[in-house]
Amino acid sequence: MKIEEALAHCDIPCKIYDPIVIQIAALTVVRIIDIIEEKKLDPSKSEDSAELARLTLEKENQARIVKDETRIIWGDYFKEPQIEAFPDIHSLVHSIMLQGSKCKQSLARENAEKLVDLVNEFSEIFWKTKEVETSRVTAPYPPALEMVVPNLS
Amino acid sequence: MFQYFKIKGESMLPSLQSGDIVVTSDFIKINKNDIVVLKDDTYGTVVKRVSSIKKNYFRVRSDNLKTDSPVCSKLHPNENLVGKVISIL
Repeated sequence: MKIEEALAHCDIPCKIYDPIVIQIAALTVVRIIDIIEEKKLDPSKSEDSAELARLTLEKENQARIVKDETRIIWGDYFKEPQIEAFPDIHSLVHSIMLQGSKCKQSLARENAEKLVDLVNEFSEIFWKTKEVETSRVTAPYPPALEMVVPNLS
Repeated sequence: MFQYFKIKGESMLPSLQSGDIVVTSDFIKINKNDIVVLKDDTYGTVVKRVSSIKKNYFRVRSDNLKTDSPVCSKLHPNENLVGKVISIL
């Protein structure tokens, strides 16, 4: 008797998701705010003005990356099983969207630190959906804030 | 009608392992959390667990959360249901 196969696999390519991209972007927002603070740039000087514009543009860009990449993982990776297991994911993602915008609008370091906190929370949930344990470590580069890393062995 | 299917893949672990043989029946009404075999227009004959049921369609999910299947993000019309898994041989 020939028995037909029933597929229990997911064989489409390009399913590589990792929140590290979001984490690095969020840390970069903090770092840029620190650089702006450290440099004491004088906007009345053309050279300082140009540098301030460049730093501000990159801060905007990194905050946008946080929002874009979070939306991609939330929208493409999280499906019914993950959402059932972590029903708060929607409100967390919404909070990241709002906090990302706050970081674009201001130079307040606490806004960027809050963004890092939210992104860490998102990363922990992401790895839990894959049953991967995580640790909270200090980033080995400025601004040396806490970040979530998967315990991969 | 009863049908036999051989499972291929790991998205239904730990409930079903690759190589398992299952028996389905189309006589029995499906409920949420039943394991079913369905015909997907893109992916062919697929085995999944029912996650929700509406009047004319149903949704499915994998048991193995490490996997990510596009079949699980689609609405499946009732006519695509092959049958409920009633036995694992």
